[in-house]
Amino acid sequence: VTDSSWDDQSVPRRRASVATQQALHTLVLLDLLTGRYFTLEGSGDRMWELSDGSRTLADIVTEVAATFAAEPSTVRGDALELFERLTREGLVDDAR
Amino acid sequence: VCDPSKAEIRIAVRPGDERALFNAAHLFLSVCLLELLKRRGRFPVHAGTIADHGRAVLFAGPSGVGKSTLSLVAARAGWDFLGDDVALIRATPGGRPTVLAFPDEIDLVPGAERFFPALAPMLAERRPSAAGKYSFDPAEVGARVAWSAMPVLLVLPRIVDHGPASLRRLTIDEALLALVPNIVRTERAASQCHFDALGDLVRSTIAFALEFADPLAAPALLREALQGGTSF
Repeated sequence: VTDSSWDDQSVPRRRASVATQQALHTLVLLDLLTGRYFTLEGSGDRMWELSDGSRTLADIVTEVAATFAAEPSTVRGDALELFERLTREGLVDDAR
Repeated sequence: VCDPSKAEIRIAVRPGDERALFNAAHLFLSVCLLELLKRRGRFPVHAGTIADHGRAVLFAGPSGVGKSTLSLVAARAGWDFLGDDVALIRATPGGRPTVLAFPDEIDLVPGAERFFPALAPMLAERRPSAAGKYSFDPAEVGARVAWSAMPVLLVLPRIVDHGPASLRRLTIDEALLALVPNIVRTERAASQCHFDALGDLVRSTIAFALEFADPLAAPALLREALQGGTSF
């Protein structure tokens, strides 16, 4: 998967090598392969939860836009940016 | 050789090799032991721990932040002592976690002895360990060991050059992020359980950053925070 491969039909899937923990406002992701850790909040947290390998990126955008009463086009842009970043860090892949 | 499935560890050390013996005891053996303890639901956190009437304060952080000095100061001020470097968190389903003691030797860095003039004669007879620290059995320095307590305060200490000791309240998010480096990254299920235990710990305690130049000022400040007598 390359950084630019994400589109509406992509199926984000969390890598099994990531451990997670919910704090108060932050979801902490720990990459067990590298020891690097990351944080997600708000819609990013929700997008991670929905990235179970069964939903397309378009499905996730629809659900997150509804949950946060946000513009789908804005959420889509955020989702593309998030999944590209998570891919670069080795935390998700595309199960398509 | 560590075989968790058989709860078995084997280590060979050349006789007379002090550094190898130190590494075996403190690095290889400790890491294996802690990994086996994780399988038994005891999760390590790099922290010194003291307690007052069963209510524990954990001093968490990497080497050099003052965990041992603060733990020993508090122990000599009458607090119970559970360890100066490692604590074990035992999760209780649906309830508060418990902190279990790991009271191996107390390791003081050279220079910290100025806070313990009564220990000067003992220190004078001792030479630093292979890690460059003075090591004591807790009983030798008057520490009264308690074997378990309820964690109430999680304190992230930092030594500063001068000024009065101060506490600053931390959020759960800040506290959890500070504890992430504690997770030993072995196989996923055990690591996730370890993460869960640390999450339980930060959710069930009040976290503070402690800045101090004089560790002797810390016990009173912590006792006040433990009793909820200070607003932050």
